[in-house]
Amino acid sequence: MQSFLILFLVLFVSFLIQTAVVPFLKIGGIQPDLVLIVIAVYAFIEGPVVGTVTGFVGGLLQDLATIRNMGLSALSKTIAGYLAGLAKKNVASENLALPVIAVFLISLSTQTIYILLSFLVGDAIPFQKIFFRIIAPRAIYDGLLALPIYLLFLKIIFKKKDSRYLKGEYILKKDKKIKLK
Amino acid sequence: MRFKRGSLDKFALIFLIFISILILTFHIKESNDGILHKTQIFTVNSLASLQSGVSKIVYPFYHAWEYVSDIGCLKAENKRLKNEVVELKQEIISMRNMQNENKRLRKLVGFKEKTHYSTSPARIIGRSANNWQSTLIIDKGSDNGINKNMPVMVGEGLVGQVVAVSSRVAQVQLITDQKSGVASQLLISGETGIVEGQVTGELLMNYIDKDIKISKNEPVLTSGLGGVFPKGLFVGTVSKTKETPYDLYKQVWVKSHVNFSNIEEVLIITDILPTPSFLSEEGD
Repeated sequence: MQSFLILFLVLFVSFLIQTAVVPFLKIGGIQPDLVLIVIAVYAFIEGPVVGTVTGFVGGLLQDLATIRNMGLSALSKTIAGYLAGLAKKNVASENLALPVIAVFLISLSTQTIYILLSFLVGDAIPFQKIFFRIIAPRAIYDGLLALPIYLLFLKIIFKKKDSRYLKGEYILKKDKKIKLK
Repeated sequence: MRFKRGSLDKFALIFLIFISILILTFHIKESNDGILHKTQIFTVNSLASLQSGVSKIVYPFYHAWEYVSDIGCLKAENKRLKNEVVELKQEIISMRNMQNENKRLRKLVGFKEKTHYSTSPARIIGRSANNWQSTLIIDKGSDNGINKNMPVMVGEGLVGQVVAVSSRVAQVQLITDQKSGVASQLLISGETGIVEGQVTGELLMNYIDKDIKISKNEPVLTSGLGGVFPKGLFVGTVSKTKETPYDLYKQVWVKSHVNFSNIEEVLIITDILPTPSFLSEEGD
């Protein structure tokens, strides 16, 4: 229960920052999606189940505060949370580049899913036209912001001193995966 | 019921995707007074005070950052502004002549037109929570006399229109939003078209005949057609035109002079005639 409350609080704060602060952090007209980064990083630490729920709650929060197509963000971010959780489950590595690459790829896929879903509900967004202008730069921005957020989460929320925290089953020892249970 | 870890992952994913699709379907199917639409308005209203608090904290930092980053280009800016003052003085003189001539001609034909509108100022307390939509949240709502469809302006031109109102706050759809369409007119040629927002944040004026000659920097104003925006509000200036043999119309790209990222306050035009219901339904 406590961890669910922390999760909701983190999502809520990131949502407030997204609407009030992030618009001022635009670089070349591109602004990051802080809620997506938080979902992906949280899922990356906690695994696919928590990731999926985090994605759904975060996406729904964004949907509630907009005026169109409620459920679209929830759907795309649910998939994003699941994918981020899977990344951690299948790749056991301490390399700090991993969350950056994972968030970059998840941002790319989430934006693509969102555009595809928008097309299905009648809001056509010209994918080819904006891939290099919006989608790819935003994914890079999201990926770069993922690292400080990842380290912050490990230190503050999960109270772990280094990136060796691999929730649940595995820990790395001399380049070998060792099952704890 | 016990799940293996792998199957629990998939169950959570499929279940929540199903719920999302259900919400999406109900939201599309229901009317604007439906429970999901009302929940959205309730959420925006409830978050207003929090967003207002956060933006109050953020603005001083942003101003300080803007001040520091502007120091380097003050000299060049000063020179540019001085030149602009000279150009504007000339323009004012010619505008006054045109205004007088316009008054005389209007008197002659007995034509009356409203040129001043009642406005209500509002502060921006939040921006779009979704990167694919361009909206603002303002700190005025139906309690302050704000209604749906009211146009929103700043000194540099048209900003957008109110698309959702609750008692204390309202949501403004920017003209750069891809769902926005503003009935507009080119000032010199008088040709009318629709200025549509693009995902990239640009403005494209559609339905302009290929034979029309358009000069760069030609002003674009609202045409008043459709009844949503009153006639004569400044939208922007023509930045470029493009035509292909396959298109029926010329593509006219319009540059808004409004810096949408930095707007802090706006003016809402409050005395427009109410839009007929069939037009407001179409705009949704």
